[in-house]
Amino acid sequence: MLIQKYFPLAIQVIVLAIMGVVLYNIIAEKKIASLIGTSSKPKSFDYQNLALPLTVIFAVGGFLFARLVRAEGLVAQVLLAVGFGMVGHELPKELEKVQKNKLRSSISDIALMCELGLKAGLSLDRIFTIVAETIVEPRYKDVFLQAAATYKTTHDVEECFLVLKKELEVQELEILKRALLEVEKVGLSGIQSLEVFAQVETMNKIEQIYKKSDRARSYTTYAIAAMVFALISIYFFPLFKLATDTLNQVLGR
Amino acid sequence: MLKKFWMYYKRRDKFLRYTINNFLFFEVYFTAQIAVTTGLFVFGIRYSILQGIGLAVIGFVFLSFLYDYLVARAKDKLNQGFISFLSTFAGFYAINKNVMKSLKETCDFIDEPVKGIVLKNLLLYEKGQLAYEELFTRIADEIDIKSYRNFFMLLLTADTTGADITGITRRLINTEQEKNRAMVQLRSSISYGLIMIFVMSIITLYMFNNALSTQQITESITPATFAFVMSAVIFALLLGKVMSKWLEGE
Repeated sequence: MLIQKYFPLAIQVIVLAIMGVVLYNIIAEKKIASLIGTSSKPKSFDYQNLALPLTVIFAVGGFLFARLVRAEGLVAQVLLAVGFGMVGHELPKELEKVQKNKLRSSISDIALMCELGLKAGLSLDRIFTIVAETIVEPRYKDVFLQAAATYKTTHDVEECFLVLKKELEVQELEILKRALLEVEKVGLSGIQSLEVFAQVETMNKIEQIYKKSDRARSYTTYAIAAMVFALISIYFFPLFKLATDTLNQVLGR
Repeated sequence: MLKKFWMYYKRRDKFLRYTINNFLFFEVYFTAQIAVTTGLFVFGIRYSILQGIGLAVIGFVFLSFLYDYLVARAKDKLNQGFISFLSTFAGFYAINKNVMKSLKETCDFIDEPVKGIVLKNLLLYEKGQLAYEELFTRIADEIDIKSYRNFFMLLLTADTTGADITGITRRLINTEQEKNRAMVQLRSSISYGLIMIFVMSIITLYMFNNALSTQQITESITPATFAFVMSAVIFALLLGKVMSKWLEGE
């Protein structure tokens, strides 16, 4: 009797939880996250502090959602609350990851700009001004303009990259800095390191496109599976319930 | 926050106007979207509040999915034109050794949005209404595709410093070719996914509507099942939205 009552609901809750997991994986990825607005946070903000409040808020939200859809029984309500709470608990980690990976895709363009600009005999502050011009998001634009100004006054690559690293936590910046220092030390013959770096980053970017096309297929599968399951739950669960009810009547219980 | 959101969509609607229709402003589309959402809500609320909300949300998400898909197609089209623009320009530059003249002659061989923008700004420059540096930044801002923007900025600096423009274009063409090869695969798997999602979501909604008119099913359906079906459709449409954003190639 208990199984008959809670079986459809339990499966629905499990599928909902899986859908939630897939969705926050995507939210972590790129553009949706930028709409949520992680941009105006202070620099030394620790996302892990958000884990507990978000868990509580999401769990309460899940509980209220269960009440809204009139899910029967305490078990279903608790299950929904736990599922929502899990999503809330994992969200801050992913947000932190996004923050770090935001500029990673455009680092290849920056490296290419640096290489071509240095070959053309430009100074670094001029190059950073051009890089700032190619970036649309005002926050990152300002960072590069600041770096250009720093280089113009101090002529020190290290200090220039300290300004950049305060805002952008991309590991590739360290390699870029090393390559630029190399060029500064030995002159234009040291540009080979920068060339290699730019090529590797471009290859990396193209690799990401191949990975996306792989992921597109799995996303299609998720979407179709969710909708097919929804159809099954409309047509077959009532039939299932009807069948068991009839069986109980026939057996005389 | 709200202003940022608005500007984000405002930045995207010009691609639609370039490639599909001149009158397809975001404001018009958004008003239509709100109207359709309200209509669906009024239609659905006859059965229950939950159904009204569900139908309204699905209508809203579906229309924004459509909008994103159209923008992505427009951007993809512009991106595909970049390589032919670049190679035409490189050919003319090798003959002319002059950026302005080459840009003007390139415009005879490329498609509309880019052609119009470049020609308009070149005309303004010749009339003396634009400074030299302003010309390139304005062209880059109006096209607003990342590859074009990078190229025009490089062109500006290379022209002012006398760098090897042919070398730069050749390098860019090589990267772009590699990227195109990867994009072919991505495009095929995305179009497959979007078609499947589109067809399946329509089938699901149709069958669900049919089920609601059958009394025996309606009696045994709980609001939980209803919410489940709605969230499954919205989930699929959101996945489609994410995938269509990949077409933009940024």
